[in-house]
Amino acid sequence: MSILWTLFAVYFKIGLFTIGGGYAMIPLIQQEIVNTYHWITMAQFTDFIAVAESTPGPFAVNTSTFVGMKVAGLPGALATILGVTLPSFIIILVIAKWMKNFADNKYVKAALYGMMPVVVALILSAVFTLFVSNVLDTSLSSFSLDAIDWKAVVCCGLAAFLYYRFKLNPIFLIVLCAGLGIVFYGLLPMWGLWV
Amino acid sequence: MNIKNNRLLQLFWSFIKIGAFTFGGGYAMISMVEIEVVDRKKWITEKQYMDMIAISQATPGVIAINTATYVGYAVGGFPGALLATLGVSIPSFVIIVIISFFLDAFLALTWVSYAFMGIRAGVIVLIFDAVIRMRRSLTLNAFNWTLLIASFLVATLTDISVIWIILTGAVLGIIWQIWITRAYDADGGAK
Repeated sequence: MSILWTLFAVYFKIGLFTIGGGYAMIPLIQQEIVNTYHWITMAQFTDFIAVAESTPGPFAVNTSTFVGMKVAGLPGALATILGVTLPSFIIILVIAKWMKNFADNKYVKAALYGMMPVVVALILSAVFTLFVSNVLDTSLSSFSLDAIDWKAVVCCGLAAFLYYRFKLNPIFLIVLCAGLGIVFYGLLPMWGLWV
Repeated sequence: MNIKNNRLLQLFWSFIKIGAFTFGGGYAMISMVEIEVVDRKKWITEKQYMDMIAISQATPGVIAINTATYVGYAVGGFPGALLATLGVSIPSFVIIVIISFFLDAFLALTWVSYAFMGIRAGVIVLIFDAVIRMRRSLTLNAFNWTLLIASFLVATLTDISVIWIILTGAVLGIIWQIWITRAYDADGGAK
């Protein structure tokens, strides 16, 4: 199977099962793109999210384009973007044409009622995995305190504090965190303070 | 050029603008589309738009694309749906394609890689905050809590596909709401 077809098929599946906002894609991307196909690493995906947050446009379009470009260049990006948008496009056209009272159907409502807590839990699980992979050196076979990157823990703590204390706009937060990274990983070791 | 074509072009242009100037994902886009399509162009009414948003959120697929397709279809039929969807995607697509050419070289710079070590922390906080906000919009009862905790444990500790977990949630929702609590029997609407 050609890589373009696989990219399209995987992103079609992701588009189809994204229920709610763009962040609902994260658990699917983690499972398919990072763990199953190994197209990108978790750290790369986290960096993509940061760029997607700092550039305009729908999160889903931004991250799909990124992964497509990374895996197979421009044709890859076209395959992922087509894959991720097509399920929405088809489903909405069918509903708009033939099923206008779709959202009032009791089975639809009941299914959504059950899916929403699951989606919240899945994103929470994804961010938990993201956090663990960010602060732990998972290459070590057994857990020990040495495996913890304490600077990453401090950065997360400070980021959360600043975000909630000052109700920062997401782009500000990312810029500020870039500064934290430079201080903790660049300047402090350079000054011999926290190597 | 006749008026209908002109309207399609306007629709395309409106969605290009929306795609180019919306930061912060699908939910931020909802109000941008409202300002452009309902308030300024008056192509659809507030009520129609609210119904479209409800459906966009209730159907599978990316909200931003669902909304663009739906509004496009209402304004200009199939060509409208196509143009609105293309319009909202093109700016992001072009911007990200350009950035991807530089990103790897950019990330390879030592000081940029330090900056991104910090940025990852910010991303984790942003996603965590999105979870908190989504959780607030749920009416929490024993059923919801159980489902939330159980899905978290299954997703974190096992390799079971995310898709199966979502589908299980849908089936349990139907069993709970329709056969156990009979939530929609009295008035046909949500309780």
